[in-house]
Amino acid sequence: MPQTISLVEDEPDQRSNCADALRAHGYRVAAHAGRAEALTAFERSRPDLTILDIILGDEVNGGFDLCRELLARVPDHPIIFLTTRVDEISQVSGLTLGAWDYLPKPVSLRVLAEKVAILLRLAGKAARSDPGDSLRRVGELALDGGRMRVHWRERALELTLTEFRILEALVTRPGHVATYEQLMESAQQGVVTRNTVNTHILHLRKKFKTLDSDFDRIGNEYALGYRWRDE
Amino acid sequence: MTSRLGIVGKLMIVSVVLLTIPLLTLRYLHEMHDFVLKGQQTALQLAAQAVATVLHGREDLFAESGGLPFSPFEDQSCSPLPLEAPVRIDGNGRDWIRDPKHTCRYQRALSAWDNTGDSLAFDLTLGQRDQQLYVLFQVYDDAVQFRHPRHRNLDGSDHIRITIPAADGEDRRYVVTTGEPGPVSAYEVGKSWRYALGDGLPVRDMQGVLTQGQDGYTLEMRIPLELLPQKKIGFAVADVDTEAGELKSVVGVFPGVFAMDVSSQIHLVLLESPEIDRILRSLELPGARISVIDRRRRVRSELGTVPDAQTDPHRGRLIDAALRGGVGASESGQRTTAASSPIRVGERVVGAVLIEQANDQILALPRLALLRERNALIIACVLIAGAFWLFASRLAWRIHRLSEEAGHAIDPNGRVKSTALDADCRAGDELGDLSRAVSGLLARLARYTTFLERVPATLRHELSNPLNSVSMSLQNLVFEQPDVGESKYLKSAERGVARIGEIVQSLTEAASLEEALRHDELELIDLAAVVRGYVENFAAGCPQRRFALHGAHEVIEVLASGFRIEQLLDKLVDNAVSSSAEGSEIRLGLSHVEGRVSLRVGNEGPPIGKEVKEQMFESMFSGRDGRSGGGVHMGLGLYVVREIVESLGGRVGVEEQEDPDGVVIWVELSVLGLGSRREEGSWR
Repeated sequence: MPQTISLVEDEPDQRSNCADALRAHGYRVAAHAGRAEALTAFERSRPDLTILDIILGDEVNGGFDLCRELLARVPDHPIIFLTTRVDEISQVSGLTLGAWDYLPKPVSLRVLAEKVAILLRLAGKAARSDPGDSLRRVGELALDGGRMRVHWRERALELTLTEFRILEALVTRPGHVATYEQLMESAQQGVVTRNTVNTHILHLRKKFKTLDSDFDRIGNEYALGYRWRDE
Repeated sequence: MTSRLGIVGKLMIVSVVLLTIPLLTLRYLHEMHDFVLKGQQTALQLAAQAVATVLHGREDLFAESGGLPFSPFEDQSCSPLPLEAPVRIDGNGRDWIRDPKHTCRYQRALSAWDNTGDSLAFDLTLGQRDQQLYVLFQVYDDAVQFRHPRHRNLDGSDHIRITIPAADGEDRRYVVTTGEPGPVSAYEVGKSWRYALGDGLPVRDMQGVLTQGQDGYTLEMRIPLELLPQKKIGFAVADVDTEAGELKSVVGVFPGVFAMDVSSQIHLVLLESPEIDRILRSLELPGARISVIDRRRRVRSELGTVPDAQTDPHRGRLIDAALRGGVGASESGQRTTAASSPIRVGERVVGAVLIEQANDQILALPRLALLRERNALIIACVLIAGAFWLFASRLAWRIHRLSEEAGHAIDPNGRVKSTALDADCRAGDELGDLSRAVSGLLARLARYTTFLERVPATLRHELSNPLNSVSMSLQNLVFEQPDVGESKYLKSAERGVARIGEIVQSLTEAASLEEALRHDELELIDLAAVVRGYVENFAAGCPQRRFALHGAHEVIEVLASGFRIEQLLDKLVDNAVSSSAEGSEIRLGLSHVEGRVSLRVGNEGPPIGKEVKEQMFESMFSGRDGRSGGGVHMGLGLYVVREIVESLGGRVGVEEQEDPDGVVIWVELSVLGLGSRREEGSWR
């Protein structure tokens, strides 16, 4: 049975484009133009994943509000933000809201489909509580690629999909520079700038610091990229 | 620097006009003074006329001997003394019975217009016996001058003048003089009182003896009454004090001795006219002198005094005028005011009345008034000037405050910080209007600035949706019809989408920069290390330019966010690269002075204009006229630099570079710590 994806996007062209693309990948798509409509549909039948735009019609933060409402009902529900307001997500509360990932517009439909697939898979695994199949250790850092789980000094770290990917790229060759280009590619987003990478790194550092206030393993390589410092 | 005169200074200068107040007051006082003088003149004129009126028609008083009987002394109880025994003419008055009633004293008390200062006086005693008139002069003279024997003139020494009215109306004149004490000689003389008439021999009938005393001389004389056809006689004592023979003064009794011409000045001789005196006494005018003068300019009577040396210089003219039948008054402004009026008998003018009054009090009026009011005037002027000063200061302060506030309402980058000025916003005057007008302008400017600031955000939003549609449509198209995937048109469209995507990204970056900067977490970072690392890394990836870095040898710690500094360097170096030719050198320099570190990025290139300099840090300003080939240039790079630097409390600027020509953009930040470099390459 095909998985259902709820798509909330106020702009008709983008809504239909996006819906078409996802349908082409074999998903069932319920496309909604507004917050209330989406919420009603969610109550009626729960989708497996929700893709949200932030600006919904007149509601400038409609996506944020909807995200909060959905997660209040189903805390583990996978949500992807699809928006031009990448920076605002970081500033406001996209991450603290509990969204799984966010993609900046214009989005690559291929990337979108991949992210959707990964998140659905992760959601399914999380539901089944399967042990990870590809576990990787770098010093005190443990990465579970299959379940997108990260442990730092044996303590779990909640990362978005993109953040996980960037961290993964960073520790591919510990002690060596991960260039901006490598990091951008790993972020798997449509248009990724250094700034976007910087923002993700910033969030990564913050999340690490909530576990370990002395954390300083991610070092800047100005003009090049970042480096995971070994002990 | 040109000197600047503020409102206070200008108003102070204008307030000099205040000085016109005392000037006007003085002028007013002068007007008052003139008015009073005029009034006094008129009053004196009227008084003179009144006195003249009293004397009108009294020809008897002004006849040559009128009102003056043979013995002018009758009225003063100084009549000739009937002598019971003959008196020896020996120049000694001791054989006279000295009854004060028969002795009169004459002195120059009223000869104020005489030019001498000493006193000349004589006591005159008359006696009568056996058809002889006996005369005793006791003359008080400080210097007795006797006649020089070789001089022909008779008036060159002290002498006695005798006037005897004759039957034919003419006067016979005699001069009694002597060369030494002892017998005297009497000569009949002409009108000049100078030379003897006829054969020049003395008159035998008049005999006298003179003796000199301590304070003058005594002269005893005997005159036959037959020589006095009218039974009238006048005496005068002439005083000469020097050998040169200059006549000093003449004091006499009716019929008088007069008209001595000394230094062209007419000397009037006082003649006592008791009748006129009596009349005048009833007309006394306090503070004024009333003189009655006859046709021959002899003062017949005088009443009252004015201070010495205050003789009206116009009196001669006034007397002349009155004697010609007119009235006169002296001009105002003199120290005395005088008025004259003729005395008539029928149509004939027989004399004149002259009234003089000192003006000292009136003349002093303006000065006194000014002195009295001086303090009040000074206080008033000071108060007014003070009020001016306060007013001007307050005005200047208000304008200054308004200008300060208006100046601070917009920050150096043109952002409106406040749209409502507090200064004078409720004042009802023009400054209030100005304040409100400026507030209005600021509000409009703020709206416009907000609009401009929102342009990137709006553009981003408006661009991104259709861009997203196009992007997704292209992707769906390829998915639907895989054979178009290789079409060069599709590739071209995808490149276009990517390019617009970059634009949207840089707009996003600029639009949310300010907000993002506020959330940055700052840490102590070594700026020198960051710059060194950055330049090395960047130079490795950019062989088209040469890079030179100076002054990054020590630790320069600043409070900043590492990747913001990287972003800053990105923009600065991008700008330098895109503004310079391939193969040229880009110079970076770090230097610190007094707690500030300055980072300079210079590139070779053409100089930039002043206008560009002023605007190059503005949002969406591009100094390049589209000549750069690759990359997206939204004119946001240096704007981002400025935003970052200012969020860190620093400054940014641009200047010309010399040798080779080019442009330097500098950034100045606060230094929090300095030190020598730790281990080399710690940043690696």
